[in-house]
Amino acid sequence: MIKAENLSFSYEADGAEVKVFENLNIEIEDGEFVAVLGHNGSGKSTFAKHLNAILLPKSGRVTVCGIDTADESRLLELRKNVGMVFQNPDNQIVATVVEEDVAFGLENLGVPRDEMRRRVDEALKTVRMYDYRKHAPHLLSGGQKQRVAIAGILAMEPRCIVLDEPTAMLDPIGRDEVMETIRRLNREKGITIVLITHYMDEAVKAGRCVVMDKGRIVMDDSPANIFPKVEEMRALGLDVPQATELVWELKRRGLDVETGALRSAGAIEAIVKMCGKIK
Amino acid sequence: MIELKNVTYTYNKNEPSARVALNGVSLTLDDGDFLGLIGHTGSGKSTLTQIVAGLLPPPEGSVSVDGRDYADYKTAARELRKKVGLVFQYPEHQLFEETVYRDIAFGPKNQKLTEDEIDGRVREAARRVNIGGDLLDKSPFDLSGGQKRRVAIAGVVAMKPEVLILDEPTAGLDPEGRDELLSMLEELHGDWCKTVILVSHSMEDIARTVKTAAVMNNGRLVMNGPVEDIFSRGDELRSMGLNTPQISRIVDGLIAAGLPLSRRIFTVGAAADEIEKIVRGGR
Amino acid sequence: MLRDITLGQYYNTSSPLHEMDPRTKIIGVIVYMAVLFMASSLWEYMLAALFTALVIKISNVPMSFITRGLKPLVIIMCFTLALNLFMTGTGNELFRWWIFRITDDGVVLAVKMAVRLVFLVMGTSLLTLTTSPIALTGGIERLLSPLRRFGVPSHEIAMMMSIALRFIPTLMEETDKIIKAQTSRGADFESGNLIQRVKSMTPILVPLFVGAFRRAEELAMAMECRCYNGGDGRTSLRELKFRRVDAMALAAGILLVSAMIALKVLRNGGVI
Repeated sequence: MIKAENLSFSYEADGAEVKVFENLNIEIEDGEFVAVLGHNGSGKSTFAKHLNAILLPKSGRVTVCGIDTADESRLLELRKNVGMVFQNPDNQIVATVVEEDVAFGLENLGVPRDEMRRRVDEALKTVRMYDYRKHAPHLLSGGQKQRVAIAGILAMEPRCIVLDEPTAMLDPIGRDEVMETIRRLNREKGITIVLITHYMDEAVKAGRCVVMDKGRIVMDDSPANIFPKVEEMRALGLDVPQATELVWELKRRGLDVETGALRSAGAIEAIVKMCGKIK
Repeated sequence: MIELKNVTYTYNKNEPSARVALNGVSLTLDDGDFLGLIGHTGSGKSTLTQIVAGLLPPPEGSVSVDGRDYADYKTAARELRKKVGLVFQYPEHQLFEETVYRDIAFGPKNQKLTEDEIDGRVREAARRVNIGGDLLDKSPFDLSGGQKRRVAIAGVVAMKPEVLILDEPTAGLDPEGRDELLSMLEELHGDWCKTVILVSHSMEDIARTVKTAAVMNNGRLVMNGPVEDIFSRGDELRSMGLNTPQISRIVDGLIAAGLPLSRRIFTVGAAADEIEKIVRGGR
Repeated sequence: MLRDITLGQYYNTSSPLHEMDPRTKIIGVIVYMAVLFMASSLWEYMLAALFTALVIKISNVPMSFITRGLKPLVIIMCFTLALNLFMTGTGNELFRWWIFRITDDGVVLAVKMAVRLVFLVMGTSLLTLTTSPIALTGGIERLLSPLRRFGVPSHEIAMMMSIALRFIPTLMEETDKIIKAQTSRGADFESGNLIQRVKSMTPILVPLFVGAFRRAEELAMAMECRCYNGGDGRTSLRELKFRRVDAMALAAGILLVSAMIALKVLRNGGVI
């Protein structure tokens, strides 16, 4: 699905070359849900922009859905297949009516009107914004706007959606709405998801976590194998879920508790089990 | 001390689009408070902070400042603007000067301080938000996102307001940036600004930073008190679209499973202490 | 004050006017303007008033919403009123003071101009109130498309208008926030002479422009990601089709123009 080989990227600032990453290699399979973690400046956002040719590699190669991102003749085909959702919901909505905005990509692709109508309605229903189809976007909440943006991508029937910190500007309700939508798209429609985030509770929901630091991939594994490495994560400037931190802390204090819990239920179970053993 | 009594505020009053943003809110801010203000978007918390900062047209109800009642809000607002510094959400979007130094100096200059005083304030504020002296002559637009945020906060801090209000100061920051900012606030409180209000919807941030909190819902102040009291009312918070820190949900689960824990635990450290005590006590 | 500008705002409801093809409405407004400038006698003004009232009634837009749009125009109206009142030399003198002289002709002309301006604003705001910006720009694009052959970038013009309309509310909110933030830093926008006041706008204008550029950049990137490639080969969700309401509107327009001409003929013939 997505394959980056020896990917390098740098930009110039004040006459000096700033390397963002060098010889990055990663492969993502069809239907995966991958979270990319890393502190600000770790290169994760720049990596995301390589997936649909907003940025082109300085050297190396990125292929998505079998299309080389540097192949200009297939640019539209690439972008149709790899949708992108950005952080600020206000700055990616083009139209003044929700359904018109969802149709924007299809209009660009020259999709016939009947087909367009059907796909717009379906996309709006999938993100549960169909009732708002005639509304003005600027009056919606952040979570609703972000779901409209996702619908606009969805209508193009992409095989992969890349989301660059889509919840960073949202409140807890909005974050839940967006995360629930993303997970559903992955589960029910089999769409490959690449989620750039620094919220650990979101990363826990992914099938695979890729941790970036200084332009390198330093960890690449399931959340269950990554988060229990509390000290390593902290050294990278990242959090772990409180559930993971609690059992890790108890273990560190010499208690005989099973570590590795990611969610509340797991931590409760591990602690109850430990107490049971003592009795 | 700032006291709001029965304050109601309506946007677009006398129009079909009228919307009540605050509904009979009474709140006392004592000197030395470090208050968390919680509520989801549209709960009225931004309106409340703007009234406290003296930035809105007169609301209904009464406002008193340092024990003095003001007949009209307009006079009170002048007092409030002198006393209260409000850092808006994404404050880096309000930077405008050619250098970091001049941007931070904007507030103190408006306060008509002397050149020496202004210089002292700018350097002190920059130091407190962890902006090195080498950055002062740079353009604020050349800085990184986290640095811009801190320069913008310094712009308000340099005015040495008695009350400092920050609206979602950690939004969009990574965990490291967030930790740095929160400990910066702890150092400012009491020492530089008497009173600090942290507006946030991150319960984890509230839990580790402040001692008392107020919760807003639908324009009303629905809870106000020690943080542990508020987080022990998890179900109510969730019904308002708010969360509790994950740790307090774990504690709730452990209590349900029969562990003799206190419900007033909301940090990982405290939870680990209590559990360790139980286990080592051999109960 | 900024919120009072109804020109360019869309009022979401359903009415025959909302259903109409935007092209019909744009042409309709042009015809309406022509008719307003044709009107001169009381009867002709009554006809225009009747027509305006009828259209407002059909539009389902509350009257209060339309009159609010007139508020910002009070200054311009006072100015035209004064200009016509004092500058008209002909007619019988009613009042004289120093160099000012008011004549009955002047009064009639001033009132006429003011009424005309009110109708003009009402009519044109109705166009934007009943037509979503996207439909409006779509209509303009189609009306201009024959000019594409002569190098008129009709699609680009329409796209620019549509994006501008989309971002007006966002930028107004932003302006409000910046003003408040700088006020909280002790900025004073109200005192001082003109130069000082203009200078005091810098803390508002710089962030506003920086922000607008940032938004433009992000929007351009988002549009590119959604396969935007200029106007060629685009289709449109909104169907532009002449329907029965359009035919009826056309009939109403012809009727209005004919009635206006008839009134003029009758007046010139001395019947009224």
